[in-house]
Amino acid sequence: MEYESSQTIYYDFNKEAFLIADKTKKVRDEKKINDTSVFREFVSKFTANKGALIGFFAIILICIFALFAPFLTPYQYDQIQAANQNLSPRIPGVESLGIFNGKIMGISQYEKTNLKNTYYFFGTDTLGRDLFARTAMGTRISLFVAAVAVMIDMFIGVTFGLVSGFFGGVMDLFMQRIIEILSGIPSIVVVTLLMIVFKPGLVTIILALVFTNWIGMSKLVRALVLKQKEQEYILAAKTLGASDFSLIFKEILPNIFGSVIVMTMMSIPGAIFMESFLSFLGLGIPEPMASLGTLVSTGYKKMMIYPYMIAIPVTVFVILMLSFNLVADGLRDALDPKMKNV
Amino acid sequence: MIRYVVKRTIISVVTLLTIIFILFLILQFMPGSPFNDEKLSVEQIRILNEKYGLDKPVYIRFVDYVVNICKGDFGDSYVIQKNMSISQMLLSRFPVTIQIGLQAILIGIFFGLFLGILAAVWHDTFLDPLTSLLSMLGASIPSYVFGLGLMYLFGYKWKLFPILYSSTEQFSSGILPSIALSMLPIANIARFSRSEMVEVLQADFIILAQAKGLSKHKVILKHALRNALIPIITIIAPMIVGLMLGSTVIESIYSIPGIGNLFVTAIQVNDYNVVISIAFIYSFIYIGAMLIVDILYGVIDPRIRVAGGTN
Amino acid sequence: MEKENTAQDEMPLLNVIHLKQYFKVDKKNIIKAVNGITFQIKEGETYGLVGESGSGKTTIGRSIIRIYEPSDGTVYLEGKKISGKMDEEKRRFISKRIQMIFQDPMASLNPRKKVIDIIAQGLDIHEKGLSKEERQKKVYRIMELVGLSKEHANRYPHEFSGGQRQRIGIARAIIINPKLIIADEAISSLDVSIQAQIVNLMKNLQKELGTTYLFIAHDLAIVKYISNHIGVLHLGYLVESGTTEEIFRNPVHPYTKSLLSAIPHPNPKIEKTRKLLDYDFEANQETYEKAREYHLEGEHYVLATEEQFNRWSDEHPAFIY
Repeated sequence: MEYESSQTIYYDFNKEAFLIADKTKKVRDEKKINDTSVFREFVSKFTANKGALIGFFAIILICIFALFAPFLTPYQYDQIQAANQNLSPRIPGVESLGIFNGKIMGISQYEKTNLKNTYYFFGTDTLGRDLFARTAMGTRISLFVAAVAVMIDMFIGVTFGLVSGFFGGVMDLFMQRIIEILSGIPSIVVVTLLMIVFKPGLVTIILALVFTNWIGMSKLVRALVLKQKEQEYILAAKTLGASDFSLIFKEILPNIFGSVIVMTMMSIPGAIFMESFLSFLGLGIPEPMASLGTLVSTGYKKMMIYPYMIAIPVTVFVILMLSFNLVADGLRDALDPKMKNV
Repeated sequence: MIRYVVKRTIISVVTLLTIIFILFLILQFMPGSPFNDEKLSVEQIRILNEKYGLDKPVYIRFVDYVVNICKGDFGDSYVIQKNMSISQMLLSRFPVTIQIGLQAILIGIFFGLFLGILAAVWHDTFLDPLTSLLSMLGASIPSYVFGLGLMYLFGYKWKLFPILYSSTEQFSSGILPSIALSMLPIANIARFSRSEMVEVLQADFIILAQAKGLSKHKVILKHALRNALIPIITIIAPMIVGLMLGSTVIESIYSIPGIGNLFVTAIQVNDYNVVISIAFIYSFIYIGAMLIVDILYGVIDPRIRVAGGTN
Repeated sequence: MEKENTAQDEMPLLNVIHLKQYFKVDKKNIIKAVNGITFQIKEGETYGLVGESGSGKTTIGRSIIRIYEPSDGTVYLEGKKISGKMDEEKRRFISKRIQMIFQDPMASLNPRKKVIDIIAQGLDIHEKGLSKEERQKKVYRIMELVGLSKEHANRYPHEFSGGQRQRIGIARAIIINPKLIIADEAISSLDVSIQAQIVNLMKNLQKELGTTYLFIAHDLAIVKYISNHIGVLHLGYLVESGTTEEIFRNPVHPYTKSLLSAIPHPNPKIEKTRKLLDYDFEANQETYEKAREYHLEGEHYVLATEEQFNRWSDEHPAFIY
């Protein structure tokens, strides 16, 4: 078979139709494709989701309320004034509109007890404590408990998932067996066991919340790590001689961090939920501290007569939960719509 | 397939035994032996210990404990009703809890599916975001809030249903608690079935069925539904946990003499035997449910059926 | 005549002897990806390894660099054995001297890392004492060498085109000045015009830095352009090898011939009469297991059974020694 042709073929063409190429000019590829960073894209996707935006601002508002509300009333959250018990909410200015005027079934409680010039924005409870301050305190504690629990979850779950997923082999198999057995224990059992073994208190509740959530986080992290492990850039880093440590923390972790944050966000409502459940059953934050759950649980006893005692903390609670759910959904959609089925 | 079932069963049993072990250990370390508040002489205490087998070494006691559980003997309650057999207490309370729970599940499935399918089929109208909002509300509002709200509105204000549960009017007084308990399942099932249906409706084989000339309703009911429903098995296990949690609170609110109520009371008065026993029951139900779900998965997912196991 | 494996005039940079790579899929199935490959690469040269997908060419590259553990055979680099039991010293030795350019320019770059950090990764591992300015200077120098501008250093991979990303990959590979670079289908996923640019870049780098290439590809036309030697792989066997000139002038193995017949010719008159040769391995019930290496001329070897060799010699009497 012959390759080179033995004939030379001449073609006639118009010399003006062509210019000699300038060899000194370097041929560059096309310019950069886009200018936006990953972060800016993410922010724009998130803000396009109206529900998520509303939730985000609601959370900010509630946090502001929780932080600054106690300064708006002269009363402490644990200040007992038995004489002022069971007063319904009364807000100056708003009361002329016919709501929040300190009246229950038409009778102004304040007039009955000669308190014409005192105002309790959210009313008082059966011990005469200011519910405005108590609700603020309750929100603070609920948020704090949830945040701490979720942070600890993140650390434990991420570490477990990273180690299990990255090193694989026998260690992975062993760790996975442990996870399988642990996840067979329903959370309600874990929580109650912790409650009866240790005294109910802030630390115990946080422990209980951590125990129930870290398993889910570690499963997710492990799945993410397994997926990244097969990527070529990991191979490239390995051939360059990167150590395992640097592979885990400098290569894989930055690529899964976004999903981890989303999962963390999504477990906050669950933590708040669980805490309020425990408090409602009397296993939660001890007196005189208050959480939204304890407020609901004490308020429910007088629900029929003084509905405001329960209505206010419930409203705050529901807004909080809804906002976190909306924000978490928005984060997830902005970051990685593929996570919808997790 | 058989290998898969066997493997899953073994893991379930091991998990259950581990849980029993932990429960047993906790029981050992809890204060409040039955004889603490009686004024007994040392000799009498020794005789009682022997009678209850409390002087045998730990591992024998553990084996006894396990054996007893298998026979259905959970020991006696020490606080709530002194020396009453726990298994008797449980048996008498089981039916109510199961009744409310089942009603809640049925309501949840019915309305959840209805809403979900509605949202999926008409997902370019306002119905879709509306159902999303509703299900998000349902997931954000705890069941006890629903319970209290329903009780206040329908029981107290409008006097449509009895406020508290009574065994004489079992059905009508059980409606409000069942509805309250069903809110979370409705929300979850609605959200889940909606997203599954939307995906399935866009699948090629649906377009093919429509091209074949089938009416839209037939297409939905026959083809889409069947495919969309299968993944619902995945949420059964978490839903059961939710129901267990919810039932404790709902039973407390409505004074329903069920297992959940007993559980809460036992925790509050430190009747550890009862707490541990109910914890075991809950674990058993949960693990059992997960095992059934796994087996169902094995039946449905041909990869497992044929290959004999997942990777 | 058997091929001689002993040292030639000068020691080759890379010496691969009877490399085998088997993969166990499950209890019963073993995939024999590479079946006893032997070849050498001299320093400063380019060896082109050609084959279709499934021929084992990517596996060979990865086995040499120890991404996979070779099932059998020995590999020598600069005379030192780099196959066999792996320890920290060996790992450093290999990673300093052999680097790889990967096929997928997007997947081989960490999407969360800036370009400067991607390129400098080799420095961060092997030359740890550099100051920030020294590191930056080195990266900029390399970037210029591969045709990227300094302004690109603080950007992220997704902001670049495929050709530019591959340049980043090349920069990353050459910054620690490795002796051998394995280009694993480095241009296969690029546009044809960009392919030409990248191949030219690689050639220029070779001239400037004296790098040796193992160029793995399936496109014989490009391989011809860049390689001194060529090895033709089929189903994990090296069916023919030799200098580029030898292979293209006198292809002997029918598989080689069919590959060559598939190359389009720029001259339209010849292209019109080009005929595609078919090599039906299964239909002819060929087997490579019973075949052995036959030396034809110079560095030209072919894998054949005795019967095949006799048949082919009858068709081309010039080759018999």
